[in-house]
Amino acid sequence: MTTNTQITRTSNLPKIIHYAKEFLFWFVLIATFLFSIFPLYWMFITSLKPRTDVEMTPPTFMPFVDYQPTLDNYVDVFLKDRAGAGFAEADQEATRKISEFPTTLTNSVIITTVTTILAVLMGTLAAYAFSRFQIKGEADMRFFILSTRMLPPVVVLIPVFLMFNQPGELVNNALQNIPISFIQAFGESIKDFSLRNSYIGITLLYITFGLPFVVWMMKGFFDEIPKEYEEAAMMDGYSRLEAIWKIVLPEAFPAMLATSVFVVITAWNEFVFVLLLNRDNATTVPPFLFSILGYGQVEWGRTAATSVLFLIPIIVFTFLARNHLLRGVTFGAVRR
Amino acid sequence: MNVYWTRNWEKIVGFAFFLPSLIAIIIFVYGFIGWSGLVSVSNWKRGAEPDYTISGFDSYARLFGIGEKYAAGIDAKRFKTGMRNVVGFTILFIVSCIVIGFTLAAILDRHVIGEGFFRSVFLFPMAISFIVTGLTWRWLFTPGDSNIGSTGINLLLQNFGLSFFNPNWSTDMVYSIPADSGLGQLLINIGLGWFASPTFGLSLGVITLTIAAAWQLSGYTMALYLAGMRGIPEDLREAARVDGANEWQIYRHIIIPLLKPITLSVIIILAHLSLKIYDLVVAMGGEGQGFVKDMPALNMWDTTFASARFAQGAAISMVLLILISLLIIPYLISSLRQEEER
Repeated sequence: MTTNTQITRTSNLPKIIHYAKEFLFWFVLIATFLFSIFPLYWMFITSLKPRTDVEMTPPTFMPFVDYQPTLDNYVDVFLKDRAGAGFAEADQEATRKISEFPTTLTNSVIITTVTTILAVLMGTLAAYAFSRFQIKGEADMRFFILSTRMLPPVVVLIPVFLMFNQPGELVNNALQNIPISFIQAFGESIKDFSLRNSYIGITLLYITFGLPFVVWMMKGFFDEIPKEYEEAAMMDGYSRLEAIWKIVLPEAFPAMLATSVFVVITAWNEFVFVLLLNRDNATTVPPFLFSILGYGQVEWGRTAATSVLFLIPIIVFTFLARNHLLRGVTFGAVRR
Repeated sequence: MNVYWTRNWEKIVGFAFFLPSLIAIIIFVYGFIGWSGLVSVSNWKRGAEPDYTISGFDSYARLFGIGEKYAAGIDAKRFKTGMRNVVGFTILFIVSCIVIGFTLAAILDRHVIGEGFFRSVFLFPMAISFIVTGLTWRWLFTPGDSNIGSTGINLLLQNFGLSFFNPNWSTDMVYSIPADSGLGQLLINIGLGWFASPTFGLSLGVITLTIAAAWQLSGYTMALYLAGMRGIPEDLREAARVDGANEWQIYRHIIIPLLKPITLSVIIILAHLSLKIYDLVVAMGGEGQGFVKDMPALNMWDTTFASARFAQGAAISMVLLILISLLIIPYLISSLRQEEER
């Protein structure tokens, strides 16, 4: 049917218009393709350039043709600032210390992984409860949860900063008002506890900001699975929790994967909170990348190489999750 | 096991399931918004020592330049510039994303060869950190100087024979309707002189931000539209074709109206991203000379954490919150209502 009408339509058109249309289509497609790919290509080839070639004008574009690729910039990523002007000398390289890059990359991986697993698990359970149980004031609660999805981080930046600085002291101040000695003693003992520069603090924060999205996505998913599905299992003697564990969660796994795509991307790329809270310890890659910029002259070769290394894990992840990517990023915005 | 007990048990389990999420959100989001609000009306003028004595809306007055004391202040000037920039940025960014995204979706929807490949390539930038995007585009927009000649985009423009257009992207002035031009005079005469003042202008710095942001998110916009187009049954197009509509009319009268909810989602998602933009601007060199690229989020950060003026910074964040709420609360309410109707 479709092809028939299409053929009659196009054959009615003069051939030249048909070709012009086809040309225009491909022109737009390829132009946008180049626009999309060029900045990444440029980063990649720059990271392979010898130091002297990085800022050459006119620029060179073809590795192996215009220049011989080297891994010098990648060596730079793992080493601290150059000691002096003669940076090309091998003996100076030997005296340079290891940079923060390996540490920050590990931190990024740890924080993103823990955030994703916990946020998706907690959010899935909450979404299940929303979908299956009658909860009083459910609509209001959903509004509250969803509205946080678009909260600008700067709005909570000051309280987060204040609370993460000395949460122990805040709790202690409150506990000292209670005239029970062991509670006061407990308050004293946690006085110096700080959430800054720690994995726990930043992960907690990321989970909170990831949750609304997970709840939103997973609720849509659970609404589609018929209730009878686990009710049948409960008839067969499963308890509700067993039914969730053995029937619902395996069924929900692909949807949880799709949801995690977005959570991973957000946690991996988050910048503002780490910059504020984890400046000295448990820092992730984005602030590190920002810090090597320095002021004034930017070392583009090193920056490019760091960017490439930072992008590789996310490229691998998006490649592995490619079948879920489209669903993961469009769900919640596109409701059927 | 009696039914009553089972019901209660279910209620407890249900509550236990979403209690952690609820507590986290109440504390970290709503509690903290209240806290920010309190700081913004407090007397905490300067320094790291908190001072929560209420002192009224002084910091807001300073921000909006209300009153003789604050009218010419640097706070009011920077905030006004930031608001101008963020509004201009938001509009340009959303429009370019929608135009590029919709066009790409329409092309890919026709099942071009290698559709999956193109889709992934266009979508991929959205997985990239704004920091990396910002750095890359900052470099491409480095104008070069008289010693080494033009670089980046300027070199490209030069190679296309446009060497007269050789701007310094990050520092150049604000482009606005000149007050002494015909259009400017007309606007002033009909009482809309504000539109012909630099207050209404747009700096090149903001345009570079727009290009970088659109590069990152037009693929995402495409994905949303593509998902929407896939949901439109082929029969509808068929029927329109039988009735003699051409492709353009089909898009104009059928596809675009049907995709209205998606356009709304796109606008909301992109607008909340652009109103709170911080990382991208910082990576592209910060606020720039004369605040040409300044954004409210940057202003808030500098005021609070660089100058330690907490009340002032909190006031900026509250204004930003109100701005975003005006946008998303009606949207959320309407989409929740729609869901309940189904």
